[in-house]
Amino acid sequence: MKPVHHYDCIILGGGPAGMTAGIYAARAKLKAVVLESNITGGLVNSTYTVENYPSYPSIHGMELMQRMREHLDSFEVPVEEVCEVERLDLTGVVKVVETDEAIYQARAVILATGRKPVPLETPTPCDQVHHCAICDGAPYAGKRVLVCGGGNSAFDESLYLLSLGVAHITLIEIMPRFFAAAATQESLLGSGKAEGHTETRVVDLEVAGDLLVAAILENVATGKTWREEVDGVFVFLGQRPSNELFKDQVTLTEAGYVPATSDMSTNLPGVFAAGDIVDKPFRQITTAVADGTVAALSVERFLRAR
Amino acid sequence: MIQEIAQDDYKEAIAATQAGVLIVFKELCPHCKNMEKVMEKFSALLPGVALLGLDIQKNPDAAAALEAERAPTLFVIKNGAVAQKKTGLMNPKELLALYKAC
Repeated sequence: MKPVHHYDCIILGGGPAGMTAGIYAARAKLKAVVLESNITGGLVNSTYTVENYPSYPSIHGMELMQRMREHLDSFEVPVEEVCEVERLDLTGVVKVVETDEAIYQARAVILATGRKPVPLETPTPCDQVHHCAICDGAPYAGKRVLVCGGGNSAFDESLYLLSLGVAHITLIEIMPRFFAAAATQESLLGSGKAEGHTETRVVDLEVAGDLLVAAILENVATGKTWREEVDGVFVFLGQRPSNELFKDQVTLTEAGYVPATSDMSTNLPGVFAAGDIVDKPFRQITTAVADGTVAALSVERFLRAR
Repeated sequence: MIQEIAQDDYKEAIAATQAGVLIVFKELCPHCKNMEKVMEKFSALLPGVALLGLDIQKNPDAAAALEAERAPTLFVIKNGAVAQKKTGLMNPKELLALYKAC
């Protein structure tokens, strides 16, 4: 029999939005809990350098999230990490979240589940396909890698890979142009160790034994294919909303995001959303923090009105 | 609680472990932090299993000798020897199954 815990507010997700919501909930004297499927910090943990969070001109993503976590911990908000949600019922007055270890009940829930990286789908599976340069970049010193994606993450992580001693980077983007900041593009493509191709995608990977030897690339505009010798692939193709837990209960946009109102409420009373899961034009740490603030204050207003 | 071991004592530490799990990790690696939390939850499911950690950056020779190129890489240790190796993420139940399978 799993233990049953009663809270005022359950926060699903421990990224910047969820942790900020936890801080504001605690300051409002609400009894809140943060449930996180991974470790707190979300996608920011995989960001090598954050340079647009006010008060820190430049800080490692994981360090920034550690500081946010310490702030949350100072309010003694319980945080359950590596927490697998098995059942979620948001439709009743009392919301129920069942995890692998316990059952949580509350009159309010904040959905702050964020997004997860889009995987590279190729016919040939390969162990040398990675999604984190910090985690997996070091063995590629002196080697050639393919980077998939043309946004800030792809370019920033490519620069990090070069700093690790990667010999050459081939960066590809399926759209007609790169979307990274101009200065970052200049840094990478002007390094003499990187080349970029737009309108290009990976068709397949060529593996010998257990090792990647080449990627088969295609120019989607001309249909021309070619073989690019690489030792590893790093994938930064953007993210998809993490809505599996509630997609059948909460109204979503066609793209799978929550169309929250200005107070971050959803179509269900007592259910609010915050962070990257919300349908909005800009997904930044700062906007996630703002959403978390508004969602927690709205929860307070919602609960006090009853 | 994960006990950190190092280049000069990793062989002895493994040899002295009857039942354990060793993680080869990297500082500032989110997947490693995740697996450290998974190991703690695994430990609650199966108390008495020693949890060991080896920093791949501080101890590259030991990591190479263990054939751990990527972080996180996990090793199941039984009777003073490596019984199984697996790279990447697992949840506590998967780690428990991996441990019990060897």
